[in-house]
Amino acid sequence: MNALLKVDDLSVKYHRFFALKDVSFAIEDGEFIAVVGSNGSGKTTLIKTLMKLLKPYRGSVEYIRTPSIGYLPQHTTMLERSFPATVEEIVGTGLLNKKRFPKRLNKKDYDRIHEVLTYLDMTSHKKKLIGELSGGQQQRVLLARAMVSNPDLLILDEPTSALDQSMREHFFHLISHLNRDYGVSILLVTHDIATAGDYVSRVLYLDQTLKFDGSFREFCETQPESPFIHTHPTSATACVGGENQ
Amino acid sequence: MIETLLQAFSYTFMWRALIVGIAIAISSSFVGSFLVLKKFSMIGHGLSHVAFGAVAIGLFTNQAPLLVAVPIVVVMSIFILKINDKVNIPGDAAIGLLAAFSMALGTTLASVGGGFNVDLNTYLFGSILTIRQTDVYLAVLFSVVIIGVVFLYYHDLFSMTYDDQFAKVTGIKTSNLNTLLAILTGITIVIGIRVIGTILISALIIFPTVIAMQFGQGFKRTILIGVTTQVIIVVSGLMLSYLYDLPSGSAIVLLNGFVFLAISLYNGFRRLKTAYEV
Repeated sequence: MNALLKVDDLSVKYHRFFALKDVSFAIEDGEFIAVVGSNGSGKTTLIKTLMKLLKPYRGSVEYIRTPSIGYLPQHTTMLERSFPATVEEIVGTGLLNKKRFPKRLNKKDYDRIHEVLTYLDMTSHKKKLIGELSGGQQQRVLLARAMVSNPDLLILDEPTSALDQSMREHFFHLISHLNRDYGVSILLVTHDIATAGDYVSRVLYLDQTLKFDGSFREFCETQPESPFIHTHPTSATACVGGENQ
Repeated sequence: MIETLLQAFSYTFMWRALIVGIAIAISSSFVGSFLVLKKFSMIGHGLSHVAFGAVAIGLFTNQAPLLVAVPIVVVMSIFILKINDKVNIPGDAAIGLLAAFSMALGTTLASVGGGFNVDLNTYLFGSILTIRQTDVYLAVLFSVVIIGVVFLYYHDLFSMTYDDQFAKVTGIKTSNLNTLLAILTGITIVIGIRVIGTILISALIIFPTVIAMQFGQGFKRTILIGVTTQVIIVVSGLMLSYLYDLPSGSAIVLLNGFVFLAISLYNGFRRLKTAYEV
């Protein structure tokens, strides 16, 4: 596998406070990585820095080739039911990074939107307003928006926090297919390692510094006393389940 | 009544009012769509008070009030937009402070100036009789600029309005785009002063979008519905203003209120009927 990006001794500061300190790791093509950690551990800071929304205090984020990133924000931030936009219009905004001024969507773009919505079983909702859809359907629209530009790396920020258990499993199933079928690398920020553990190839455990980088099984074996496991009992259960398998 | 209306079109001032009215209806609907959905509606309200202060400065210094108002309102518009990032004051508090300060400045200048009190009232509530040829040129020029900018940056503006952070990730310079939106808002407020007045102009930023949203369409159609309904409402409001000798701004805003109420009630009844049938 080829490296997609390298993070080297990355530190990010808010005023005098280090949100991230000396974090180093690399992402290879086709990996499915979960980033876990308690609230305030630096997960969101990490992905914002990877997406160039924040500047490193020191260290670097090096993309091996020109990055094409798809981004799925936290679900709760997007719940504006009265916003007058159709599914097709919202998914179309995912194509703007490939457009030059003055940006226009052509027939090929609309075909691509249709293709992605078909993959996510959402074509019948194409002309509907986003507010008319259920939480799970809205999540798939935002996933379609992240996928539509054929990204090399998909960054998902706690995408399942507002979904119930069956919808979470369905969602993880969907993105693991995406990872396998299309080779898209996935960086998933989640508290729900209990569900995600079955799907991911690697776990990064953050607590300002990178405390752990390895497989889910190794995470369960080496981190039973970590604050994250203590504050997320379902993770401990998942680890026990994993060991019994 | 029809005869009186037909007679109205023989007057130059009525034609001027119609042209400026249509220009402001189009501009405010375009700009308002982004402001309202970004939850920046109160910027229009704050800027309308700033415009009052700016017009007073123009009258006090014997300069063309609208030409004085354009740069002041545009600068204040950018200031309000950026204050959240730069200064430790919540955005709505900053708008409140600026609005109150501008009104105080305007009334103080009016009091000190003494002689321009009558003029200032026409700027407060709008008057179709005071529209000059220069105002027509300004309104048409600025509305063409606004339509052009929205047409060129439509997709970026839409993406930023729906999800600012995602827009940044896709490489859209949202800070520049917000500044552009602030400039367009400032210009829209100023060109609307003659017809609507400084007190009521903020309503024309908000009403087109909230009325159009009642039709339950996508973003592009919501803008187009907003523009179309607003042109009809503004023209009708100007006619009413002429027929019944009402302040044009009040007539237009009241008509907007009635249309919004009527559509909301119709939608409410329709929802009730559907629920009852189910």
